[in-house]
Order: sequence, then C-alpha cells, then structure tokens
Amino acid sequence: MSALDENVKVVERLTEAIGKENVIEVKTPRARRAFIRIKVEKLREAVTYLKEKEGITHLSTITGLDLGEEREIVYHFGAKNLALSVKVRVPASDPKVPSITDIINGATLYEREVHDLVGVYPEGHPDPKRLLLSEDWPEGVHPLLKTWDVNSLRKRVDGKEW
Amino acid sequence: MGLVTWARTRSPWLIHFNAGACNACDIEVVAVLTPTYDVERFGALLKGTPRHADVMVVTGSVPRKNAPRLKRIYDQMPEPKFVVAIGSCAISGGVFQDCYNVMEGVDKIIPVNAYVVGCPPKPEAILDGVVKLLKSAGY
Repeated sequence: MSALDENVKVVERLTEAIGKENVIEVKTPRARRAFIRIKVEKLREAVTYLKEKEGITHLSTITGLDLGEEREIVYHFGAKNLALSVKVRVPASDPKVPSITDIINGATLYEREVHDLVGVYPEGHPDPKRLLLSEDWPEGVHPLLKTWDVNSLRKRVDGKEW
Repeated sequence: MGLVTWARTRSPWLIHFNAGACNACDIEVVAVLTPTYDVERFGALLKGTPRHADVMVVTGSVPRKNAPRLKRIYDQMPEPKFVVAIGSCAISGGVFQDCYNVMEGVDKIIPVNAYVVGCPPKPEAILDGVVKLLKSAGY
C-alpha cells in the first residue's frame, strides 16, 4: 500500500465520522499531504475525532484567508506521515469560528493571532485578548484583510498618510 | 576642550537596543566588542542598563509595538545622550518599508546622531560610526 492510499484513508475515515454531507471538498495532491474542507458547524467534531481516534494532536498553525465574501480558516495538523489541513469558511458579515482551544491547548495563541490579523473571532476562547497588534491599534481593524492597502491602513491607524 | 567633555568622550558607555532586528546587525555589534575590533580602546563598554549609558546603539526596523518601548528606554538615559542607528532597517525600515506595522526608521521615534549603512554593516563601519560620533561630540 502506498503512502497516498494511507492518507486518503485518514480523510475517508474523517469523512465517515462527521458525515459525508458535511464535507465540501477533499484534495490529496500527493503522498503525505491532504486537504479537507468541511462545514464550520462540524469543526469541533472533526478536531475531536482527529485527536481521539486518529491520534493527530499536533496543530502546526492556523492560517486565515480573506476571500472577499467569505473568510477561510485553515487548521494545519501534523501527523506522523501526513500533513493534514482542515479548512472551514465563514461569511465575512459574521466572522466567527468555534474555538478548539479546549480540545487542543496549543491553538490558543494561533486563534488569537488569526483574530488580530484576519478578524475571525474564536467563540469560546478562554482569553481572546489581543496578541500581536500594538496597544494603540484601533479595535476592529484587521491588517491582513484585502480591503486594506498600506496607505489606507496608516491613514486609519494614525489619521495621516506617511 | 573642557574637562567634562574630555571625560565624557573618553568613556562612552553603550546600550544596545534591538528594535525588531533580524539579529544580523546585532551579531556585527557584538563583533565590534570583541578583541579583534576592540571598541574598548576608545573607552566604550557595553552596559546592561540605559541609566549607565551615554550612547544608544539601535538596530532593527522599529515595529509599531516596539516604538513606545524604544522611546521609554531612550528617556531613561541620562543627558547628554547619543543615538547611533545601525543598518538599513534602523535608518529607513529597509526591506520592511511599507509594512503596516513598521515605523520606518529610528529617527521617526527618537533623534539620531549617527547612521551606519549596510545590511548588515561591517564591524569596521560600526566602529567608524561610533568614532565619528565621538569626534562630533568633541573627542
């Protein structure tokens, strides 16, 4: 059995565990790499399954993308022979994801970072305060959103262009 | 030259502040302190506290979060005080210009007396910058 089959199997078992209708997209482009996009309501269930049944406990990082109407949050897991990225999309009008900090403790800083920079609030996070941005940074301004360029951002933050 | 200026310029104690530098400039600053380049022959010593320092050696592009800390450390230094900006980042932001969180240069925050160009500058260049600063101060 090749490594490709092996990581397809992890994704298949995950699909089975959370239900086929909750999985939107699956990609296994090469050996030891897999992407799966699921509905945001099933995120906690999927992470719990990965942790308890597959033994995938290492969360490498969480990244965020601004897609315009939606924002995509990607949870990058590292298993022994597999790099698995679990994606969810949330509407930009109500950017919230359920926090997974109580399942995987290491997510705490990543979720705060994503909230700072992309503005997706981790609901249920034990301590969702600011992580990276400076103290005088205005609330609700998330610098990695595509609506900002550097001049408009500085104008908003400092009240003037540089 | 007065006695006070003579005493001051012959023992310029340094404080090194890393304002978001990548460590390359810091390694060169440390090299200046080694016997090879030996900045101590000019009486310069690296001190651990701004309250004992006359010259502040700043490296890095000064991130927005770092700027008030840089100002505070500068304010803690006794007069007369001097600032040397080491490297492209400390002068203008370097490759980090136009980043949303970069102040683009130490002189946006505190007055700078000498600039040393380079990415990173050679230890000789840093030494030259410090000596030129001392000359301007009446060495």
